[in-house]
Amino acid sequence: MKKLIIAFFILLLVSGFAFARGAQEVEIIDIEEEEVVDEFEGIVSIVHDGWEQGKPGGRFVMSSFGSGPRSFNTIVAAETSTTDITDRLYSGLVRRNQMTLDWEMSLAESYTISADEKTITYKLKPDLKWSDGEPLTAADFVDAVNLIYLDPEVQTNSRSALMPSGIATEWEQLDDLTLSVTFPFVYAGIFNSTSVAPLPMHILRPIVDEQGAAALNAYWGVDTDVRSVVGNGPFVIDSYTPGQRAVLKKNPYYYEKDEWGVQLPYIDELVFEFVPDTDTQLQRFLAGALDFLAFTGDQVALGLDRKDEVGFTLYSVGPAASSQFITINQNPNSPALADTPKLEWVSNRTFRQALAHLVDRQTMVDTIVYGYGYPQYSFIPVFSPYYWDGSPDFAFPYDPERAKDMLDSIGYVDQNGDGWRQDPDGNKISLDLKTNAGNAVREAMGELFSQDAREIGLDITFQPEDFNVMVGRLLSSFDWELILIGLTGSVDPISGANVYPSSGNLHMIEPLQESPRRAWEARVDELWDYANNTTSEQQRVDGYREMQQIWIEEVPWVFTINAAVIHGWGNEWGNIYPHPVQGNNNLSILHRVYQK
Amino acid sequence: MQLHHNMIRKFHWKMTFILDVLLWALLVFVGSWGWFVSIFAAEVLMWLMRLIWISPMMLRFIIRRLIHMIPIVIAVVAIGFGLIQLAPGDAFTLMSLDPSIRPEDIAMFRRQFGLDQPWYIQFFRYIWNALRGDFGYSLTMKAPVFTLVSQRAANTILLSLTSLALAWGLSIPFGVVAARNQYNWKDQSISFFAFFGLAIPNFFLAFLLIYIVSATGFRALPLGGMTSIDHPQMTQLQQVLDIARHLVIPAVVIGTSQMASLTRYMRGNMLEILNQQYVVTARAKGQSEGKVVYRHALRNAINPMITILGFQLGAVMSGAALVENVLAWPGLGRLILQALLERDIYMVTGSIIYGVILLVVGNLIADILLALVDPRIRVS
Repeated sequence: MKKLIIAFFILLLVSGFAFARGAQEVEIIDIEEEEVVDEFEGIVSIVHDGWEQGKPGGRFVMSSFGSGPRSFNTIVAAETSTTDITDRLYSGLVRRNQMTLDWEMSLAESYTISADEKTITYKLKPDLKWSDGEPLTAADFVDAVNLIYLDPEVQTNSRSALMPSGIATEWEQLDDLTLSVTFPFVYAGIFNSTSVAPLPMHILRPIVDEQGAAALNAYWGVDTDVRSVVGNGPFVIDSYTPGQRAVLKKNPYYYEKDEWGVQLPYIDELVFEFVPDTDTQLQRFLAGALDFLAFTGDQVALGLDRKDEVGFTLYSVGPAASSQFITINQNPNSPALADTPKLEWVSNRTFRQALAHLVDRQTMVDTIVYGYGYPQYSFIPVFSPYYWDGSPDFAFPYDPERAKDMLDSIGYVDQNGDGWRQDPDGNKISLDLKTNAGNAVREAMGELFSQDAREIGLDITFQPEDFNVMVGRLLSSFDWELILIGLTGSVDPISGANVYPSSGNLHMIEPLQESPRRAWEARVDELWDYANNTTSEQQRVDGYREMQQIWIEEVPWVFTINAAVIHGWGNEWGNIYPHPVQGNNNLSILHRVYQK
Repeated sequence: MQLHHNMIRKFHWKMTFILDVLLWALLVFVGSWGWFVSIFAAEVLMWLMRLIWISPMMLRFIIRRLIHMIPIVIAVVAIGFGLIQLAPGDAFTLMSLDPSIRPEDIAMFRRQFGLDQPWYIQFFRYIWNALRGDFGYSLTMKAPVFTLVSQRAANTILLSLTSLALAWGLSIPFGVVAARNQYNWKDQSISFFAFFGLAIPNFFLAFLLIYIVSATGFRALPLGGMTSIDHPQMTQLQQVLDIARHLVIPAVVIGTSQMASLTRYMRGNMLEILNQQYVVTARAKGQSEGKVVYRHALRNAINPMITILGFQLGAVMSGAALVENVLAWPGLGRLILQALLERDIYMVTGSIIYGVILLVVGNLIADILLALVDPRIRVS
């Protein structure tokens, strides 16, 4: 028995030591916070002022969350653990400049646009090659689109961009180095649509001819010999160990050289370690076993504490492109709303605006993402050229008093003194707010919002539920009142064609409308075409400006916050110029990242 | 006549060893399994054949158990299939919230995998394919389930067997020591660690060890994974050492949790036997303590443990998903967990089938071992 007590005391001592260590670490943070002045203390804000000259060599190791890729085939690649790798293997005709986010030529040398603005003709750079040394020609684009991407039996996410408004674009090969793409109407997403990856038709063509394009769905899967995967991007796959890692090495045939004539990419080897646990990822990074880690808000304090000892720098990249918002169902066909007084409440714009006044963005930033976040007001990300600067001032700020006044003004007051407001007919104002369970950030946001609502007498019940159940409500049964959910964003909001126009299946408040039910929806539909069926940048900016204004004013949904994207990069690496958006993020600069 | 007949039987039995070599050669050179699996499969097959002469009773028993397996597997697949069907959504639900994917394309994905059919058609189609050796095609990984499972099976088996060996190698002697020193300090400290191992969740212990290794800067042990990045460039010996190094933390985590209960079982069994009259008799006859404990008591105390071993062998393939997740061990558990979360119905069902088959075979092996070890048990 004595031994037991002694063992217990030893245990106590050990844990006491651990706490003492923790206390020391806290003090170090205080010192560092005084030294550096940046957007967030101790974190370097990235200024996109141009590539540095790098030098070849080095192995870059990063971890990929999850169990690794589902395929090595860029055609069927769908989620990030797959595209993280496949996107490194291909380059398209055009891409967004990493510094300015404007479109620039990649494989294309030049382009011309026809007089009717519907046809774009690209001329390829000479002597382009696939990673197996075979020449890359215009046929690798035209046949890839016509025979593969547009075939309805092929499981690809690339088709949507190639079919604006559901009508296929026409691709035509003019000679070995020239191709033209014709759009069904004047379309603003010309570059977006034509940035699709070319495919090595010298390998795929025989398969399509013999077995049909659908055979490609299973081609270059995880059971393939990865060295047989042919691409034209900066990297090729060297080896793949299931569940462990994929090693990419530089593609000697990659077309791009830096401004000083040095062949890109600089790094020799790029290693993706598949780690299915974020805490293990963090510990590996802190042990110096990884060269890159994307930090979440709760991990930043630890990162600040250890960065000098481990030898890495924290960078703030900007607000995440993905949005989080509370959407208010207004669908008269919804079982939750039909034949109830609720439909009248949610259809009342003043009521929706009062709800918008209850979103406490500052508290959300401070408590949920530990200060590493930004309030969000518009459906367009801040870094996009179409973002309207007036959004923050025009949007409804957190103001419960104002919300009370607005509810009073439409007669939603507490008539019987029970603490809850009723509508003029005496029905208690009571709504359900749902989100997907397991997402800690959304759960905390929903809880905060419903608390604020209850404080001014609105009975909003917050219930997280299974993701798939929630999606079922949103897309097929429409049986919901309020939902807190998010969508990914991109530089050009044109990819939201099924979200903002009233005919879209993700136009959540009432999807798939044959003709817009509400006057403001009719205006948004009009503006959508105005902004997107044009090649005039000014027209686009104007169209999106008014759309953002309407979206804020009519409150189909109200935005909450964007988490700050915080990167940790090992100090020995240079050319760290990522943007917080897919296609220009930390992975998209790896062809320029170099070891100092 | 009788003598002659016996001669033939003995002659045949010894002769079969020549067939072994031929079968090895055939499987190794013609089959595509690799030499280890080929020899293993050949030996299992040959020893089953030799049972015709050695113990026809045992062979009949084994065959009966294998036949019983078929309805069990079908029933389990039906339950697994049903449960996944009851859960809302499918593997493509997540895609439907991506603005850049057309709803028509998602409908086409569902149609291509037969998910637009009613559940009973999906079920019987699956059973029909499974009977022909096709265990399905993963919806998310776009590869045959069999390929995916075999990519990872060896890793899980390696981890399971190592931790099993660790747990058994330590818990049997610990149990004996604890029983022989009941209530003194040795027993108390073994019990303390046993309860400690039982009480602490595996994934948490895994993370704790990772944290300690990371915080102390102790680089001899890696932070998860199964191989180092330079593994392919190493010599064979270095490769073995590299994997062994990576095995330490996961094997200790899983091993200690199994050890906890095994030690307690062993201690209990041993105590019970040590109080039996024949042990008292043996002692009264003046036999040495070592002989009493190891010859008379231990052999009897170990019998109930073999039943437990059977269950554990069955669980060898199912792995420990949470530990594999935390430690980034490239095993089956991780694959199955991910498949479950993503509602990859064929992947889940395929792995259930492998799990059930292993459980039944594991139990069968335990029964055979029991018959070999315990003279009181006879196959009937």
